[in-house]
Amino acid sequence: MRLFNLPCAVRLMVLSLPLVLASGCAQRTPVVNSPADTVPIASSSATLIVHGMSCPLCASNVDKQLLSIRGITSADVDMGTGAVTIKLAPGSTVTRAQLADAVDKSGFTLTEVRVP
Amino acid sequence: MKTETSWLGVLLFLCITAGAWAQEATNTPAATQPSAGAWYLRQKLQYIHYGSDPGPEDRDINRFIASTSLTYGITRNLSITGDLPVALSFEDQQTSGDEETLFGTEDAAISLKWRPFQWDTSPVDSVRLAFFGGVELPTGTGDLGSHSFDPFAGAVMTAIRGRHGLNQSLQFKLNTGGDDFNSRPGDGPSNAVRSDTAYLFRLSPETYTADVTAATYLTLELNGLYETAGNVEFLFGPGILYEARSFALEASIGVPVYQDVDDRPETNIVITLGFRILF
Repeated sequence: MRLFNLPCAVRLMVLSLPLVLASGCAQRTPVVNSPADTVPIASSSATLIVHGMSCPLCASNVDKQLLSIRGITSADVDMGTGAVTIKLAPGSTVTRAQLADAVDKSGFTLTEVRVP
Repeated sequence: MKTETSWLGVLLFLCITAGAWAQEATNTPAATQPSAGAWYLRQKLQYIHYGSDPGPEDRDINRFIASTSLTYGITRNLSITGDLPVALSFEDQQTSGDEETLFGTEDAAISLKWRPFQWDTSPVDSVRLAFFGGVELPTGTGDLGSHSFDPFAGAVMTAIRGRHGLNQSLQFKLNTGGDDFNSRPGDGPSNAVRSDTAYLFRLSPETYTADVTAATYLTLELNGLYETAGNVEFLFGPGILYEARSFALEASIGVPVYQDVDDRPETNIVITLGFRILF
């Protein structure tokens, strides 16, 4: 009994690779890309809208990356809305670009940065 | 020897037609990984019973395997994993009446996972595809290892929609060594193809809110193995997964729903307990 036609399966995987790569490259649209985004945030808090945090263990990757930035004192994740609220220390020099980089490293998709 | 139940067709149908897909179940890979610079430790304790041994010793085997897996996120889409299983095996040789106890490491493995595709469409929903590949090293003690370098490669797709998740993985292992009548499925002299399917349903919370710090999932897995010598094995079983913010606990059971195995012992049951820590 042969359940798998192996050469056919391997060919299918190889042929689909360029399509997958092209699709993957198209997914990361930067929401932070202007010169102003390298200016320190002049607020005590900010809210990031992050997509793809599908489980609690996954979401903690975002906390860890954000809290590794000097000047961020807390990060609270609301998985229902994707809102990650951060508190900034007085006089911190945290920029939108740093926030975007942290979310990128965490493996999720940043869609918006809201600064009150 | 051939074992079959009428569940198989139903289960295959359910897995193929599931409209929504998710996280990582116990015995099925997922297109997930720790973030860049983070570590992920996973410890599994498995009990496996093998019987109906076609070999000359007609072994009845009770095996306990403690597997340690450590993953490091190199970048957001690339990770490296090392696996080291340690086994304690009680083997009752029914032909001679002898009993043998084996203890030692099984074959360790090192692998890379690369996730080139990720489409996050909402705070929770996501579709991801990853490729992985590595090699099993000849670290096994005595009959617990194949004593060969065995490369493997595969692909896994993870899709999550609301409370539902699905992982589908397909991998191929090129066995360059291995013994006849060995008792490690997929580790004999013939090559192996694995098809692993996992469906996850989030039991609680029904919806995520700002207060949620943990979730509990029901898992259903269908783990298929085809060895090019002709052996076919499908194990199916439920499980439970509890995920907190920095750790997870898991338990699952797997029983054969289809088995056509001629040159190694049959798998009768697999029970797994495990925990995972992200740091």
